[in-house]
Amino acid sequence: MSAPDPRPDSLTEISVETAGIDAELVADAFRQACSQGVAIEAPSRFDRETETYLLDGNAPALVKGYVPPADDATRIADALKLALQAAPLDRPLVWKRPRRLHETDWRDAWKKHFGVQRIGHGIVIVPSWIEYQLREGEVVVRIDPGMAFGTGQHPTTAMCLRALEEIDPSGATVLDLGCGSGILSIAAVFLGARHVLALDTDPQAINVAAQNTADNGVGEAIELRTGTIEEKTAPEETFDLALANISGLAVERLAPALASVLKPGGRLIAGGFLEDRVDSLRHTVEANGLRVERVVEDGIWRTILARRNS
Amino acid sequence: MAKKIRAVIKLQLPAGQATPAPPVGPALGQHGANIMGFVKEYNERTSSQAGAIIPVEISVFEDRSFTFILKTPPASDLIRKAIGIEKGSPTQKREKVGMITSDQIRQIAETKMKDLNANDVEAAMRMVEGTCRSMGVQFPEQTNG
Repeated sequence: MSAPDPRPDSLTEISVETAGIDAELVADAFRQACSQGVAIEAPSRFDRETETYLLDGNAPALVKGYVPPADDATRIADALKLALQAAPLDRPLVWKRPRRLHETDWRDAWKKHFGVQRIGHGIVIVPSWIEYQLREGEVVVRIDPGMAFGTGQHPTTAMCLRALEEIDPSGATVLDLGCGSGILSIAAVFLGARHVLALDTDPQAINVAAQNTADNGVGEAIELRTGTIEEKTAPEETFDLALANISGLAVERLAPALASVLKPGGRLIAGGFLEDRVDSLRHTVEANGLRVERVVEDGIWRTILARRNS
Repeated sequence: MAKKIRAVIKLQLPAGQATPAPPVGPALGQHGANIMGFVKEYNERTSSQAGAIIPVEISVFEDRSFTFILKTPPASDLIRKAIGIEKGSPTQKREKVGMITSDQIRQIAETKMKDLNANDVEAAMRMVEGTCRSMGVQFPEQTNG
């Protein structure tokens, strides 16, 4: 038997309407039965005094359980009905008919709300399904992120793009660690980078990045590899610039490897972490022969710009 | 002025290890929220608590942007950790799966205080004891009485 696919392309949703105050109790029963997880859609009401939305325990909530397509959803729903019969509930449960969901039903729903974004002075991120007329002085990156990270909507990606523009990677060799959709690699090439090595441990991200680099006509300048920095860079391979828009833990762990692939005087743009990690990251990065030049802020997110000592 | 909320979604996810797989994908995707954006932020904010289940309450607004708040781990999860068991009892009335001390109950109650609808630690302890009872975990007052 092979392990179950963590991203099945379809699943069944069992849902029931319950009183808001009973939602947790009902969800607990669902958690025993639904192997793909449980969600509560809680009712909320607007509170004039605090000008915020508060959970409303009196209105009905929806508890949803997800089961793999191979499981018998009707049998699971019947077992849940039986288990909850004796539960001390405020209001009788209203069961919905189990429905089959396909990944495409939910995976792409947010795309309707992903539009053209301007970042920094001249970078324009355009969803691949939108027509866009390039204007003078603009760098246009066309992106279909699929299920990979990197739409440019996220502050960490936007900060890395602005830093990239500011640094001006003309003629540079670049390492993009955790490339996701390839958004930073593509922007780097449009901003003048000579060659980019883009790595990601997620093969799905590499597929998405391959599509995006081809769509932008920069496939030749960007080399994609699935794997980690340790596995996938040769000892003699060094770069003028390393991009690591991943997470605080990953940057902390990879700092020695990142430092070792940078040429003397080479730069690092590292993002994907919050304020609370800046001090320890600064320490790690500086312990590995880099000098932190700036810490950039956007909301709760931070990005570190550092340079390897020559 | 507060933005109009489209949905409030509550999930229980593994700290630092959420993925776009269910339940995150379908639960958020159906409301048009950016799944990967949520996963990234959740994992970053919970990375220091790896190994725990951290419930999250996500508000998706009409413009599909979202915010979320993290909750304390479920009482049952904390009880299991405190006494080192995998699961509660399937038949809690008859089968006892373990013992918990009042100190452990107090500690869990203190952790859970901010999420519980309790006025003081004593009241929160009674709630934790209720969860112990439903899991088949014995606690001191129960054995005395």
